[in-house]
Amino acid sequence: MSIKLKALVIDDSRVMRNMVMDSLRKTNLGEFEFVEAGDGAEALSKFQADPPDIVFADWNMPKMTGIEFVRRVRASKSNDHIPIVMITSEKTMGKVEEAIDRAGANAYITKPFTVVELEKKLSRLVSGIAEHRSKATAKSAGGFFSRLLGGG
Amino acid sequence: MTTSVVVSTSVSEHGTVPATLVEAVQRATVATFSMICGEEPSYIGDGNDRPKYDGLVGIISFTGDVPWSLMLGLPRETAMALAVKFTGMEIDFDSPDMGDVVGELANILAGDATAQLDAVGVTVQMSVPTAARGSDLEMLLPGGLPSVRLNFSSPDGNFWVKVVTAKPT
Repeated sequence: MSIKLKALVIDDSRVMRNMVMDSLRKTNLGEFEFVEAGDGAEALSKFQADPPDIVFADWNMPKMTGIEFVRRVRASKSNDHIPIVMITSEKTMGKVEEAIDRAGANAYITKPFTVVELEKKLSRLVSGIAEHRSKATAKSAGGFFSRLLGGG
Repeated sequence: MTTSVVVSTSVSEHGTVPATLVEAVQRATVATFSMICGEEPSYIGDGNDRPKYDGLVGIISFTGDVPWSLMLGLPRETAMALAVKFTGMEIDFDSPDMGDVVGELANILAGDATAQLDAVGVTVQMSVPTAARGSDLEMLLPGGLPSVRLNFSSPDGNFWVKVVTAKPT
């Protein structure tokens, strides 16, 4: 069964947002619903109002960079399980990896990218989302039965 | 794939652009446009003696070891052909989306140039890209900055990349 995923796509370029969304639709990763933001500040507000299942954030943006957005999201432990993928034109790999690790992003994709590259990078993250959901469902069901049996 | 690059003479009327910078930009241009177009562009020399045209310019500035700017100039026909290759769809030349495309191409080129420079021990940080549009397009630079314009031809049309460094102190 195809997993349904709400993705927050952040880029100051509308063309790039469309390219990311179009590429994700072409993958076999799941059925995507998209929320768009044109910069980190707008993204943070949308993220807090209704947390997505996964985030795709451009690195180099006005007002608030993608890295700063990730730092702010990761400042709250309750958001730890939401994967964040940085999309960047930076190709100095040591610098990219260090920055995303330090900020707390889960993966990065360099522009330009292909649908195949997206699938490769994201399949592990999407499996993680499915696993988190089933654990949350099990926990919630456990709590329900525990309450039903008078266990609190 | 190994790409041979002809090193430009990098002396402009206002001074010298470091050869390291010119070489890095040439390599980055060939790599970036080969990846996007599927075919390698050819370097056809430096200089400003090319006809002016309607088009768009993507601009990125860099801070760090060498403060400099990169300008990617695309005539109308080249911009339209590259937009199809890059996005997979036709984009109206006069739409704001075309500015986005050119800004993004400049951004990708700048990312590659940054990595090329990093490989030779030069560290720089990129700004957010901007795009300018105009007819009879030529970028006017303030105060006689050293610059060099590198001209390329590709199956999608000709284009140029201008490298401008901060004024020597």
